[in-house]
Formats: sequence, C-alpha cells, structure tokens
Amino acid sequence: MITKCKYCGGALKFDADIQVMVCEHCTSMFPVEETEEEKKLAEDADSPSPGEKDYLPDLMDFNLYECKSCGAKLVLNDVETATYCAYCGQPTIVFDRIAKRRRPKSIIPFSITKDYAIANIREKFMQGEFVPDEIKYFKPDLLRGIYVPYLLYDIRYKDKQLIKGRYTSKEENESYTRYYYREAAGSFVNIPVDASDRLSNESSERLEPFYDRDMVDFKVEYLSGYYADLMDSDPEHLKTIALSRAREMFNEQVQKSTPATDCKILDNRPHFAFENEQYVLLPVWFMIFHKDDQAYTILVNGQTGKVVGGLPANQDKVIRRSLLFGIILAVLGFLILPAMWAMGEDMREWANYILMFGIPTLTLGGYRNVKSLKKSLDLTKEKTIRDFVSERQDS
Amino acid sequence: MSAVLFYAIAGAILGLAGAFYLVTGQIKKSNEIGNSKGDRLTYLHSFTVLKAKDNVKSSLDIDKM
Repeated sequence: MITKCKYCGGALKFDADIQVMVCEHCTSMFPVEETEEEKKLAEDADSPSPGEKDYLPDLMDFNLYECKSCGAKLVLNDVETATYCAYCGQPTIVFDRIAKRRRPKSIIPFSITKDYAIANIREKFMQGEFVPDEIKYFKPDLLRGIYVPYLLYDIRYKDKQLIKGRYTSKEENESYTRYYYREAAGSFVNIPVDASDRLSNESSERLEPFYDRDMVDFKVEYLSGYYADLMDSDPEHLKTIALSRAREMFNEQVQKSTPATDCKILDNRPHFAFENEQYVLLPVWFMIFHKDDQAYTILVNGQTGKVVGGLPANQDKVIRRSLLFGIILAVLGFLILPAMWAMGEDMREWANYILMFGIPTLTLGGYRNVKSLKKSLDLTKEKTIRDFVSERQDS
Repeated sequence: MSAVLFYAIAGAILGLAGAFYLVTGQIKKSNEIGNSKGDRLTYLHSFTVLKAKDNVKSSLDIDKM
C-alpha cells in the first residue's frame, strides 16, 4: 500500500519543513491526520492480534515486496519498513512489514530538512582548519534520512552510598580524605537507547539530546519519503544500557551533593524500577563521503541539527603546523630553561617543577587528544554504519 | 656546563611536548565534530537527597542508616 494523493493519485511525501504530506505531482497538501484517517480501515486489517503485538517473530533476512505504484518486485532488508522504490523512485510504504513487527508508539518527525542538514554539515566542515578541501566540498547527494528505532525508558532509582572523597579546606588550604553518607532518590524520563544493532551506542549517544516536546503518536505517513528501521536489538540488553546510564547520572548528582572531589563509592545499596518502556522512531540524517577509497559517515540529528563525526586531517597542514610549533617551542625551551637555571636557586627549583610536571602532563594531554580523535574517526569509518546507509541507497 | 646543557635539552623536549599538545588540540577542535554525549541531564526528571551526613567513619554500616 502506498500513501496516495486523493486528487491525482500521486505519491505523498512528508515535508519536514512544513510538517504536512505533500503530493509530488500536483503539490496538494494534506495534514498527516487526514491521510491516516483514510487508511485506517486498511491499517486495522494489517494490525496484529493483541497476543502477537509484542512478539518479534524470526524473519528471513530478505523478503520480497511489490511496489504498489509501479508493480515492481523489491527485495528489502529484513529490518526495513519504508523505502523508495528502486525502479520508479516513488516513496513506497510497505504496510505488511509494520504489521508483522512491533509497531512504534511514537515518532519525532524530521524537522531538519535535507538542505538544512547539508548546510549544517558544510558549515561545520568549513570551520575546520585541518579539514581537507575535497571534504569541505563534499557531494550532497549521498544523504539519507533514516528513522532510527529507539526504546525510551522511565526509571526510578534510589541508593544509599558511602563515598570517599578529597576535601580541600579553604582556611588551611590543605586537602584531606573524608567519608560521606548519602541517601537519595531520582527519577529519569525517556532515557533513549538505540535499538538498532547497526548503529553503535557511542554514535547514537553523541547524537543526543532528542527532546520529547516534538514527539507525536506514530503514523506511517511520517515514514513517507524517508527510510526507517525497526528494532533488532535484544530489549533485555537495552534495559541494562538504560540502567547503566541512569546509574551514571544518579551517581554524578550524588557526588555533586558532597563538598568533595575525586569521589569514589565504597559501599552502596541501589534499588531501581523500570516504570515505562516506549518504542519510538527518531530522525537521523546519514551522509556518506569518500576520501582515498575510505568511506566516512557523518550523522545529523534530524530534530536539532546537531552534527556528529570525525574527519581525517590534511596531512600537509599537520606536518607544517607541527614543524612550526615544534621548532618555536623547542627553541624557547632550549633558551629559557638554562636561563632559569642560571638565575639562582629559586628559579632553578621552578625550572625543575616545570620539567617534572610539564613534560608528562603535556605528553599525556596530547595523547588524549589523539585517542579522542581516533575514536571519533573510527566511529565515522565504522563499517556497520556505512552498511546501514548503503543498503538504503537508491539504485 | 653539563647542567646548562641538561636544562637546554630538557627545555627543548618540554617545548616539543607543548607543541604536540597544542597541535593535537587544534586538530581535535577542527576535525572532531559533536563529540559530546548530549545534555544527559535532560532525562533527569527529579532528584532528592533524602539523608546526608558528612565526615562519617570509613567503617560506617550503611544498612543501619
């Protein structure tokens, strides 16, 4: 079944800019509710019985579908629910897929348009001093809007904690080890955990936050014109991820309530309860570009426009900058440190301190920068993300 | 003389370490986009400290609190 215009029969596509369904042929516009009303009967027929609603059947990896617009046979990935027809290019929605699997309860429709996403990415790339020129002027046609499945969890959390921390006395200007007892309770609402095995949790967490103010009841019309995935992760595993995120946030708040730093929990008695679980689809733009035969995937939050990714650096520029800074600072160090030594006992002591702490601190800081950069770059180069998007390329 | 030479070489190494830190920091700022993990406190709906005691003993039995 396809969402069609009631005037000309053309395919309707959800327009993120004006948040209505637009006919690509006669440009008629319809509120989402109106088109939903018209298909309600057909949808009811496809709905699962109450018993099988939350049951995830084992499906084959690939299934054959028919494009209702041109009659073409399509092979779709087993987690895909909406796609363009590879032959006629119509935004076809395959209702059988949604009927077979758990239906999302809510959705945050795309509010960032393709053009805006491209402009956002380009702006970020342009700001990057070390971004190679061929990346700055990427081809914008390799951009896909995909609804990513998430589970949102509401969690109540309570804990008693014995905490060890460093307390610094302002009067004495000294620090001591002290112990603190805290009993606290907190509640978390809509902690998102991505439910697609293809997208790493690291990447999806970087895309956050998603704000529930724009969340609406799920209607298949919103998928029109975009791609969508259904949940394929184990819900029990997702619960442990949500709980560990809640625990991390809770502990952070508890430690903030103490006057100490470098806090460590020595003993605790956590209690928690999952209050609610909601299956939702959240909007993400995926942009692939290639450099030196390596594919990179940049993500854009389809609600806020936040851009996430790591880019390779312009090697020539890195070498030039390293040589410039290296020579200047090495010469300065070469001249200043012996001069400090020559200036007497006090300055000699300072020189020793600078060397003792400066070299390891700066080296470690640089190493951390490299590690963080490498991690971002690895996520951007990750094969699973690339496959996730590549399978949704129009042929 | 050997002390002067030691400080000169150590100073140059310090300078190189500084250059390493500065250049990697600049590349990170330029090429790492949106690496923060969002505003996590968005999901914290309420938080209350029910009981607080400072400077307790390290052997405190929290089950008796």
